Amino acid sequence: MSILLAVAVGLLFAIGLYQLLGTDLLRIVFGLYLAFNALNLLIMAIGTVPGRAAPFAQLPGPHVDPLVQAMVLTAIVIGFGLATFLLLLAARLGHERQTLDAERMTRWRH
Amino acid sequence: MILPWLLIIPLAGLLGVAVAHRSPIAQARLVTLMSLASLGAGGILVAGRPEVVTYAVGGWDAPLGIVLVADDLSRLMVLLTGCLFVLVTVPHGGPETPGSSPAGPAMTPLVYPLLLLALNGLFIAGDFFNFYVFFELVAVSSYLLVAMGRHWPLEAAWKYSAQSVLGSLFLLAGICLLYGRTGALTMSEVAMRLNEPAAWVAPCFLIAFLLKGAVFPFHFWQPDAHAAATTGGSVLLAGLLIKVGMYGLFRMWPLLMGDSHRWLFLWLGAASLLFGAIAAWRERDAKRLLGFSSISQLGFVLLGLGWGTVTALGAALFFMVSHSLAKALLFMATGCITDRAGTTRLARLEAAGKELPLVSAAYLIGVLSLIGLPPTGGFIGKLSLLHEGVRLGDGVLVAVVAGGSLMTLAYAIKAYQLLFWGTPCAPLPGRAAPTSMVAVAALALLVLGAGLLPGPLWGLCYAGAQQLQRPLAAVDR
Repeated sequence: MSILLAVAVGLLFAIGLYQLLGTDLLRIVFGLYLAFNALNLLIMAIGTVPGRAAPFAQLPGPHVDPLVQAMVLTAIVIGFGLATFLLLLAARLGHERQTLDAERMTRWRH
Repeated sequence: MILPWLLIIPLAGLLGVAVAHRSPIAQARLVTLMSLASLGAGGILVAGRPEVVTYAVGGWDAPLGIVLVADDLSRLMVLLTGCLFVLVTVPHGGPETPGSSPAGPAMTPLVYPLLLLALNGLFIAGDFFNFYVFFELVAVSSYLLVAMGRHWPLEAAWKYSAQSVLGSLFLLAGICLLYGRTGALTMSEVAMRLNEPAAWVAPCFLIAFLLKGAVFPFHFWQPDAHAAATTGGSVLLAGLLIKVGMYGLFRMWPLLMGDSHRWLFLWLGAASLLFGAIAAWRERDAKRLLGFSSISQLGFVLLGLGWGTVTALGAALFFMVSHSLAKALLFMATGCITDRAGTTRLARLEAAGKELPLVSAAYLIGVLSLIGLPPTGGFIGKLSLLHEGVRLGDGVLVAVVAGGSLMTLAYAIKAYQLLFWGTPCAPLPGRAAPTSMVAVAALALLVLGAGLLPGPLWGLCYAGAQQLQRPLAAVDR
């Protein structure tokens, strides 16, 4: 389980960062968002121990770490908010320059 | 008990500004009042020296709850934030803020309480995750600050936010890995549970803070953002926001890494110092020049971090604060000219400031502080840094510092000469706003005060550095 999660985190993070190398603004936003989600998965992976109960008081037995769940919720919200802001910025910029390609945007300015 | 007020005051300001959205004048007064109150709270916090103050939010103590901690470094930063906020919001927080932002004029004053909340929270955060949340809040409000600027604001905001988001990604990764290893988030607890330097998370923190601080290989967003923002925005960016990265390094590096891998900062600092100075010399835009100059000046701060003795850290902190004040002064003085001339290109601003003797004198004081000449704060900071470098026998880097100072002399005097000497091609349109003149004069007095009466500030910086060297005691309850 943890190896699967580790591979998934690594793969998602690598794909996300690879997207940053392009010149398309939308690709960059989605790349960053993908990398953020890879991190959310990483936070989950830190607190997930197979065989333990969910952190509810009603459930018996050793529970998994509830702090991790709180952290991942916050991280999801922050990542989502940032992605929304970046998308909005990209949309405004694309509207201003009539393109979403960073290289053509630079030419527009000169 | 003053700690929560540092968050309550800007929160109240945020609410008030949002409620008063129909009256820009009321909004401006609220923002100024909030900044004054925050400065007052910062003053009370500093008066409570030398104990480390802690506050458990909601009465839940450290392992479970969230703690706010203020040691002398936090006090220094909170006080600096209050000072700069008052000086920025008095002339620039109000309805006379020129240029309508794409978000609509009612949005603009909201940025100030948001930013103040984020900065105060960041400086008194006692646990890593809270630190991350406030770091992110600082980032988002500073994107807004840039996006509301005037000179290609959207492009600058895009460059800034896309790169900065990458940085916060790495910060989150570092904090998660740290939690995974130690099972704690409170800074003191993590430091206690680490048996050896946490070199495996160092790259994450390094990337995050260097991106935020715009140090040489991570500086690409910074000159554009400074040029795009309005005058008040540039002052806050240069005076506080890039210092957030430095604050992070000062707070985290001794805590997590102790003395190991400090040489990294020597290389980064020297590279940043020389690169920024060369780029500033070649720059043809008044505000971008100041931006590149910040890259160069933060190199000095990194050198202090790299040398790492208490005196070097204290000198670096002192230099950082005096750079904040001097750069804020320079941006404010430049703004007095560029806002009226409507351009920031040096070629079109030739001798534009000739008829403004106060601005000219203030700019000169800022330039002296950048170069590190008496009687300014920059002199004390740079002298103590150099002295420590000589004491440690680091001849090459001392030579680099001296060379960097000479290059600072070259570009800063060039900018001063272009702006204030010669014959003006056309008189400046409009007239000087009295409030911005007051702010410029007050900042100039602060820069001079840091040089003429360095005792109290130096004491605060030195004590802050001492507490950093004993991170366990510093953040322990």
